[in-house]
Amino acid sequence: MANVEVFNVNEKPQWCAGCGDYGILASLKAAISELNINPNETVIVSGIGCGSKIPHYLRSYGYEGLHGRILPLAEGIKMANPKLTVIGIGGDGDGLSEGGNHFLHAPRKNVNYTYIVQDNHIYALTTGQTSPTTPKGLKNKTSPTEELYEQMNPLAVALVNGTRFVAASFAGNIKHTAEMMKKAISHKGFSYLNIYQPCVSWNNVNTYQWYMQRCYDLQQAGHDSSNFDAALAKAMEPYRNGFEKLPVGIFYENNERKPLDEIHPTLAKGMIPASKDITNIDIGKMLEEAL
Amino acid sequence: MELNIKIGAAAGEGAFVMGATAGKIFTRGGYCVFGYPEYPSLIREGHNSYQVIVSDRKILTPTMESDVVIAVNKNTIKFHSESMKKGSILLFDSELDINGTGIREDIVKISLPVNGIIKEQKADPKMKNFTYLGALLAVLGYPLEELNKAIEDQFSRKGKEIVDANLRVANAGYDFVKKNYDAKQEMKPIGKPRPYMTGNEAISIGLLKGGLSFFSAYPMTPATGVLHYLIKNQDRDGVVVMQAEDEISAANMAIGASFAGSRAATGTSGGGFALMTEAVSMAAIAETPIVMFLAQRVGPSTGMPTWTEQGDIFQVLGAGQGEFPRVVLAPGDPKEMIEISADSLNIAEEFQIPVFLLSDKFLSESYYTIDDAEHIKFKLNRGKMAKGSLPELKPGERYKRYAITDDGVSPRTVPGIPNGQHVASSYEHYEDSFSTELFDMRVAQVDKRARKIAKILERSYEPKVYSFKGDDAVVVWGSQLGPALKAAENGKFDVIHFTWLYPLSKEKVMKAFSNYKAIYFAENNSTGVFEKLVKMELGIEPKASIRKYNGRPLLPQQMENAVAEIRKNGKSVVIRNEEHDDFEFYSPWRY
Repeated sequence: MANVEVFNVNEKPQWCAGCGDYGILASLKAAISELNINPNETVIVSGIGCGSKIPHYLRSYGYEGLHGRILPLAEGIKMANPKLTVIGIGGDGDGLSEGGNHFLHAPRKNVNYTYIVQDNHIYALTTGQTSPTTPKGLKNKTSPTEELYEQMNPLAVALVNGTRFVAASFAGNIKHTAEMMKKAISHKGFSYLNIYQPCVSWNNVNTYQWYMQRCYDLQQAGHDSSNFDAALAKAMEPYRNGFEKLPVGIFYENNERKPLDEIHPTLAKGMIPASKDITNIDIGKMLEEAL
Repeated sequence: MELNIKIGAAAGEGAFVMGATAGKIFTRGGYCVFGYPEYPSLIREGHNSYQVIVSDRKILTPTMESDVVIAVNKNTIKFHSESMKKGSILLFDSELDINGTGIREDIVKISLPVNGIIKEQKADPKMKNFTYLGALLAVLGYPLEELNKAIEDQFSRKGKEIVDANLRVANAGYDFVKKNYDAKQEMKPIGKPRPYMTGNEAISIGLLKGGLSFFSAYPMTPATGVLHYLIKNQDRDGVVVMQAEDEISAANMAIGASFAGSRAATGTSGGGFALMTEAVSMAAIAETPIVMFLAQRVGPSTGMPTWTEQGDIFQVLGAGQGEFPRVVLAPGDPKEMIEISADSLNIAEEFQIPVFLLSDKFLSESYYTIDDAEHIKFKLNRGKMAKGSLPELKPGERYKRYAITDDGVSPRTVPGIPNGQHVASSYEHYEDSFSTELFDMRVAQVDKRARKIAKILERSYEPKVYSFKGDDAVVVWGSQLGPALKAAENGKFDVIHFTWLYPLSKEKVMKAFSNYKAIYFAENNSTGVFEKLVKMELGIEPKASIRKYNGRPLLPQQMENAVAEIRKNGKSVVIRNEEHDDFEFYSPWRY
């Protein structure tokens, strides 16, 4: 096992006291070190938001990119060097609103990397506006009376678009979250982990207590994660029962489809773009073809 | 010797296949050929044309007057007969009623029974393209075997039956002309075969020469040809090509791939580029090298999607919030397309900046003859890319990816290299990449990035001077080189061609400009965007300008006339009306 300390940095995270991101960072460090992944061969890709500061607090390679653009950035990195472990991580506003189109298309491409959404149901870094997963009735700066928009269901979206690994966890449960991260990272192909996360500053509805009262473990409840229809029904469940119960754990897992980096014609031949020998490229054959 | 063959047909009726095949036949015979397609943004209906300019010397431009017109439909005669030379040849489908087309008496008319030949030879009507080409070779007195070879190459994969049927209809077209018309011309192959390809293909080959190993794009005319070319043989050429869900994704993917250590590029046109601009700014502050290919077309917005314009320099210069160094390049001939595209990847890595490779519909989709492949030069330079092992990091310490250096370029490492851990960051950062809002560090990092500019200016290409013994000179950039060179032959002015548009070195520009008593800028846009840039950056103003913005490139005769007018009265010229082939492409139902 890689020593978790090799991932430590000299700086302390700058999140609010009690923020769910602390738990997520601890889980991520534990997951990577338990999987024995080399920090030199790990790239944490994030966007913009409170949680997207995470690459700075975990000493591997990282790219803190643009709001909403985690997925294409991660896909470019992985397709250029499939030997790397690539983990995308960012908030619900980042990935489900600004980056919604990429989220729709990532399962189609099925590049082998993991996408983790820190889902706190609110825009936190911009001081409390409605996000795609903000529940109705949560008053905030852009919904001063009531939330006029419906709440998005990212787990169902991931499922219906063909994501072959879909899971959820609660940031307050570090051990379970780390376990879900390990499973997601180990999955071959695009994997999605939705982490329910309290925001102590801007969300007074989805609190630690709120989650603890509602979360139940799918695996303990006997859910069959190889059954797509059952997975989709579980993803729909809280939206049908008014969020009385919130399933966490593995919704769906299917290893039948090979990831893009294994079937892409160039990569399948064992060529790695990042280490291509480009010192003297011969274009003779290309010119000859045009004769 | 120069020959202008114009082929016209309804969209989807084979004008491009005929034109490209004819171009290939003549380049195989050692000629230089320039192929120029025009088409509306439609798949069916509308009017397509393809000009094949055949010359025994370098040719990089369409010309105005044609020697042979092949008319597959009546509109071709209507639209193109005015530009036909006296005594030129019209080769047309005998079933077309040419009354009322305005065809002149002085034109030799060859009525070709295309459908009769197809029926007689029991061939597929789609094969009629080769009947026309057989007839064309008979008209020119060019050996038919050259067409036969082209047919065999093109169809051998589809089996002997298909090859034979195409050969039969081609030969029947050839024989018909030989038997019924007194074709006096004699034209023979003059040399070794030369490659014939589109500008987009030359640019693709250039990028591959430069070590491209990752390309991502979303389809958009006229840039899509690069995506098509690169994806076709991606496994052979060792490049991963991704079609992205949108241009935002395409840009971010390519930047990700570059961060991971591959030479990466993306490509689009103006509308798609608008979506990429946030990524430009990210690449700039994270100092991730990136090449962005931008094939301009007629704007604003959707404009006229399949037509040409040079209007996007300021879009590229203004792309991305904040201030940062960037380089803008614009090749103008096939050798430059290969060399400069290759070099763009060097420049991006040497300075760790965004580099823009500008083309336009005219350059990207025209066909060129590569007559100087043996002179193509390229030397790989990956800049300050880490090689071998790095000094061990102390616990908690990161690699100084953004080290403050004298030349502004910091040593670079990529994932997989031990002790290189850092975060490429869209935030301002310390030398070790950790985010900061410390004022001193902010200023130090801005200054560091800005220090690159001095070296970039040293590295910049000089504007190229083509001498025709003129005492005045026309300044063009990118795609307008070909028309300018042709115009200069008769017009007796020199041509100054810019392939390096930004940043501009005053010394290098003055070296080119100072020899002339007058300078005129000729641009394919309405406001003179490059002229404006030169004035802004260097305070240099031309005596007059030549501009055209109807969707077509400047044509040599127009440029020559414009220079003559400027010499006479000193006033700038705007080419508003075409003196040839002015027609409605888009809506055939509106005639």
